[in-house]
Amino acid sequence: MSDQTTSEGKASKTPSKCVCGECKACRSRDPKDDVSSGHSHGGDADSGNPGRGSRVAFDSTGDGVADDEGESSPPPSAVTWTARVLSLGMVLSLIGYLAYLIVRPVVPAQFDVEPDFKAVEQRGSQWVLPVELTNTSTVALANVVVDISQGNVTRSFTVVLMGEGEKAQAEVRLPERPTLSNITADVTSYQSP
Amino acid sequence: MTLSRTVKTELVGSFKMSPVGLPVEIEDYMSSLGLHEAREMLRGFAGALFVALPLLYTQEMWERARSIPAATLIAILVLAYALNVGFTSYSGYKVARSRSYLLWDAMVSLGLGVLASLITLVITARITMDTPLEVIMNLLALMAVPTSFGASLAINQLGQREYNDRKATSPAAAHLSEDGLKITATILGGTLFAFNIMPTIEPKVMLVELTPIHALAIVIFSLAISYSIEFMARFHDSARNGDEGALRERWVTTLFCYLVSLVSSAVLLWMFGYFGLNTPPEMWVQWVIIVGYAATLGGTAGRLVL
Repeated sequence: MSDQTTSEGKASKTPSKCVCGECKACRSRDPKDDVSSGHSHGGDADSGNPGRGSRVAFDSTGDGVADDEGESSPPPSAVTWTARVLSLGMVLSLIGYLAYLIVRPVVPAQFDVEPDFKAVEQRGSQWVLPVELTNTSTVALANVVVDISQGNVTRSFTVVLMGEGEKAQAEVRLPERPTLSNITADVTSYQSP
Repeated sequence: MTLSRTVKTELVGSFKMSPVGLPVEIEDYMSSLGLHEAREMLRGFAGALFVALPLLYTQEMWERARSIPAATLIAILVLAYALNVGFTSYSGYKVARSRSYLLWDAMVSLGLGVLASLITLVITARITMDTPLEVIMNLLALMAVPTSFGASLAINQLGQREYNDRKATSPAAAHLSEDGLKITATILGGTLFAFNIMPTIEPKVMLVELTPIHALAIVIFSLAISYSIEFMARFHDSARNGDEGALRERWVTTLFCYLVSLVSSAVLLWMFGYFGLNTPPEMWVQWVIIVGYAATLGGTAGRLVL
């Protein structure tokens, strides 16, 4: 006897058919009967062996007769087990890494602004300077405003959102050839998102 | 309450393995067990993309993923797993209900969600070689939530079981009382539906221009439309209110499930970091009402479908 849950959600007792494939009753039964009924798997769920029947049938509604272990279909194969292990691994890795982010020291907002003087080029009457901004803190920051000044001239650009460790590239146009000595670059404002 | 052996088996199954080449027949179709299981995974993967691709393409999702604290992301993943167990008990990505093992299937749904998110974010250049590991992990943790919901609902979205009735639900779900079923359906349907608008900036924009009259109108309309859809539109015969449970009166069902939808909305808003303990009550109450409108519709649909 095995528990069988009906569509009304009430447990009822349903006679189960032995599917061990070894006993007298199983040996005398035609394996095709199991398949055509669509109600038993004709194999040994404990061992994963299909039993004497060469194929295993299971139904789609949960009406399948459960065996003594309460299972109504064969145990999963290596395909499902691989998916399970990989999924569990991925999720645990995510949670583990997030847990690490919680316990490590917090670095408040700070940035690294790096003008790339080697990549300076002249376009028309102006000089184009590539600038790379890096969020070197452990917090996400929004609307980060960077000012690049050359004498009395100031150029600005804004990065909408920077996650931890993220980089952003921009180009600013300046009237004179930018060099290490005539340029200042700094973050002037930002928001906590 | 002790779980029956059938329910326990359905939750976790057993730690046994069948041969990959084992011939199986399902719905008059013969194939090897391994191939059948590969198809199940593919169904889940497709379901993940169908439900979540709009959210994977939403800028606010990328932004929230960067700014939500790690502790909250862990809480979101745990809650998502619990919701996936619920979704799987009614749908899942397996045609054969008898092959569902809720706890494992919900975990695989999360895994499929992570994989679908990773591939999509990489091919759309949201994740590149320059993206810091911290950002990648945050993105995957958040994006895995809607994608895993899609995987857990793959059969209902893209296929069908032989009988689309309570037989298609799991024995574990069938053990729920009438009240429990309604509340569960409200939470699952409401969360799924509200998740589509939750991360976007639009509810916040609405909030700025909302007056108390508007908020009251949303509350009244949410209740009216919920009652109408469930008890008057007669989408199908499942619009039932039995004699069991505390929610047997229709108006009680509508009112209580609305409150459940509001609580679900508040939890989601908090998880997305939109408000906290310092948020003024007049602000978060209206915000919850706005999002609760969507959650109420989803919850009502959930009670009809489930």
